[in-house]
Amino acid sequence: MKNPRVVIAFFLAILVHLLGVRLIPHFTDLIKPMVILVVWFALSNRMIASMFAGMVVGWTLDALSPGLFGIHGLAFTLMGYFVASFRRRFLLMQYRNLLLLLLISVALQELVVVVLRFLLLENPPIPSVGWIVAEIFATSGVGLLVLYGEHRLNQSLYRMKRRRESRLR
Amino acid sequence: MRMDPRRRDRTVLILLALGQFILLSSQAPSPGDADTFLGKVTLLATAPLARLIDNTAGAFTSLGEAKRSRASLRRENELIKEKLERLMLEVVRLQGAEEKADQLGRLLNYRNQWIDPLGVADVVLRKDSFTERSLLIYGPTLDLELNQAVFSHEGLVGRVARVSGPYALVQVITDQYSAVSAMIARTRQQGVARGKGTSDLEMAWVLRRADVKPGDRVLTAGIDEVYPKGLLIGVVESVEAGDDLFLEIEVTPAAEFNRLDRVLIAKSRPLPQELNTGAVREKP
Repeated sequence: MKNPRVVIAFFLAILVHLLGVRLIPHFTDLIKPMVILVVWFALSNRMIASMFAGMVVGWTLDALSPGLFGIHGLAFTLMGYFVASFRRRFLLMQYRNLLLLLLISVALQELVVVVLRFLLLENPPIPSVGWIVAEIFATSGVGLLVLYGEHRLNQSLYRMKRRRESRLR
Repeated sequence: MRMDPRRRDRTVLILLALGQFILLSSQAPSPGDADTFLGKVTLLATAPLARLIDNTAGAFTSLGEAKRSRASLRRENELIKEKLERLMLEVVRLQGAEEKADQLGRLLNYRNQWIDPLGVADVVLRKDSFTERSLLIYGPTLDLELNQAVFSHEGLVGRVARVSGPYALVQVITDQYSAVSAMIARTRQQGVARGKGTSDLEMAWVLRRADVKPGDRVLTAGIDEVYPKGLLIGVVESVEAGDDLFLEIEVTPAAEFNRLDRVLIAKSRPLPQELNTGAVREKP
């Protein structure tokens, strides 16, 4: 059942985010678990659901961050739409395609956040280009690992299920 | 009929993005002031439209209003003109009242050690002719008598020539039969200020060697038993040598008879009888 997985993944992402902020300095400047969560959800769900998921996750991140509420909500909504649209158009069998998707997704959400901050705030806090690039690659790398791990987990679960069914027969 | 899925997805995206942008804008203050970005954007978007609608409606309504307002403006103009005329009359009246008040003030402030004013009488009638120059005055509260001196704050006017109840006829000093004992204030040179039946006086019986100049003030000498001493008669206008021993002196009266509304009446000071009937000839 997908829904429990989604809920578990959601709370797991929040946990990682909070632990990371607590234990590692500049954790969220490099790795964004919420971005990974939205990409993961959009890869296996419909477009509208992906957009709404992005909005909810973004709002959650906004609630955990100081500043204007809704910046990440809008950025993640657009990111959810992009990932779902990308998935619809291209066959994502190879991991390098997934990596490319992750890179573009992270870059897109960062771009949207920066643009919104410039539009709406007088002195927007903008990280340096180096940090942004590092964030894109780090988050994408971790995301790829998560997707790979999820894929291996699915395979393991599938094998276990097949084995159980064959025993029952 | 179901919407195309891609179109539906795009629609949802636009709605979500727009909604969240509005949410953000409603929170974000505009740089430099307390208003929000959304407020400014909304105003910028709607104000030109509102102005266009207002101008269009205004153009239509102003056509009718112009016609109505012309008639009302004409009426208003008439009313304003009437009011202006009334106000101008009022101003003239008030100016007259002001002058009267000034005049009375000057009369009240008049001080002369030789003169004890009896009171104020109103000038009722003025007569200017070659044969007679006189004033008719009205003083119901005054005890008018013959030969009382009549003067104003400017100077000597004349004498009471006839009395009838509260009315009195005043012989003005410019009357051809009027004569006033006078003296030059500067040199105390005495003479007689006589009327000529015109607006000026002449000062007679002043010797040619006397020091008299144009501009000299001429006062009453007080030796004619009628006019008190020290009242201003007028000012020397011109001095010329006459054919005989005397100077021909023209005097301009101080009082402006044409503008007299009120005059002062001096109390009579008749000489004691024993001094008046040649008592100096009697033996002690």
